Amino acid sequence: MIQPFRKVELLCWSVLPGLITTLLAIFFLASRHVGGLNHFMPLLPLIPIFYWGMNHARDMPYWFAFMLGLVMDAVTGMPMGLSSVLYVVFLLLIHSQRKYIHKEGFVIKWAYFTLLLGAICALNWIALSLFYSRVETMVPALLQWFLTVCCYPLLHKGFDALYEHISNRRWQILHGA
Amino acid sequence: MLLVMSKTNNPGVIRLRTAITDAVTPVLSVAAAPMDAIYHAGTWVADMSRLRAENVALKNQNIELLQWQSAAKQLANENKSLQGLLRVVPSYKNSYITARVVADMGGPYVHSALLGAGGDSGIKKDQAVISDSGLLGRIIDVGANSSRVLLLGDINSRVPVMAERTHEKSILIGNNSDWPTLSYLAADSKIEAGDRIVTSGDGGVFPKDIPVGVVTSVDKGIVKVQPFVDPPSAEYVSVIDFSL
Repeated sequence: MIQPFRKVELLCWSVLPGLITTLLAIFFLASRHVGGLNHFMPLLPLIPIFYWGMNHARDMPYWFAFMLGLVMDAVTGMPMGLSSVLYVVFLLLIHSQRKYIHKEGFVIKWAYFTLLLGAICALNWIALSLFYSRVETMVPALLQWFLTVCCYPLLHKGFDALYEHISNRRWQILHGA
Repeated sequence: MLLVMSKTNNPGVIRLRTAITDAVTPVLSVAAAPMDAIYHAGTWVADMSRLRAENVALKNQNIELLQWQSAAKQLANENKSLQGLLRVVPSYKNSYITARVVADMGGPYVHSALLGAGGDSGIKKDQAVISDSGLLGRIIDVGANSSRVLLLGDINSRVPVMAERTHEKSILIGNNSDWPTLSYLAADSKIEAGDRIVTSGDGGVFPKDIPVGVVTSVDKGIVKVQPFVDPPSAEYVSVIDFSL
């Protein structure tokens, strides 16, 4: 029997990944004044989506990815629904390979993230080119992809520490330790 | 389905977008404050390091400006008396709404900014948005407490402009880069690098003579313009209610 306040704690741990993703999305949207970077800002929200989608899929549900994409589209002025679709596809691709990569080390996960992100950036470019009926330049998308890949290790290490703490707390609560 | 509706400018999608931006704008406004503080701290340090050189330059500029002020006063008086003689009716009057930029990025493919003021403050679609150094863009979406500005660099941006020196009219077209280009120029155009570009007032959307940018290059008929306003540095802007 789990005590009510322990249930609340479990709930808090389960919403934390979503909260972190939302905070990174806010930082992504509100970070201005960084000379030239505003057009190539790393796609920070995709890093926690990947990390938690890979490590603890229940904490990163599809509906959350969809809603986050919708908010991003509304604020950035992109076609409504594009990011939602891309985020859901991103999560689907993560889950499809989860059983093979889940137990692998950091380098394999980083490599898979790099590949997936490349696919998402390419899909984004194709969709936008179709949407606006013109061929968009790929350079900004490549820069954004590269910067996001560079940011991944830093956030991954931080999330690793947090994930370990959450897992320990969950185990303690569920097993009454 | 949302994408298709978005492509056809479905009113429901526009309402959804403005409802979301209205809800998110206060959060972004709060989040932008510490980032502005960090930016100002950085610029403060940089300013301090070049204070002495700037002081000398400003003293020289002040002497020059005083001469210009005297000339401007003289011209203003002359203009006033001539207008009085001719009974000139002013062609338009402008009023301004000041708003804060809460987010100014749309990724590599959309160049737009989000303002923390909307229809409740009197902002309307298609109004011109200026900062202290010139034209930033025009309003394309209006919510209750937020509005979106289409920046000059966006590929969908079209602004009627003219060269201040030659008075040649053209359209400034965005290309998703920081250097929009001039189109519909005459084949024998005399525009050259260094020419100032201002709004022409054609079309009735923008008032006349708002500084837009400076021509940076003229190469094989492609005239590139560097806008005076650097969007990331625009913190507060004015939305012009341009009444003809």
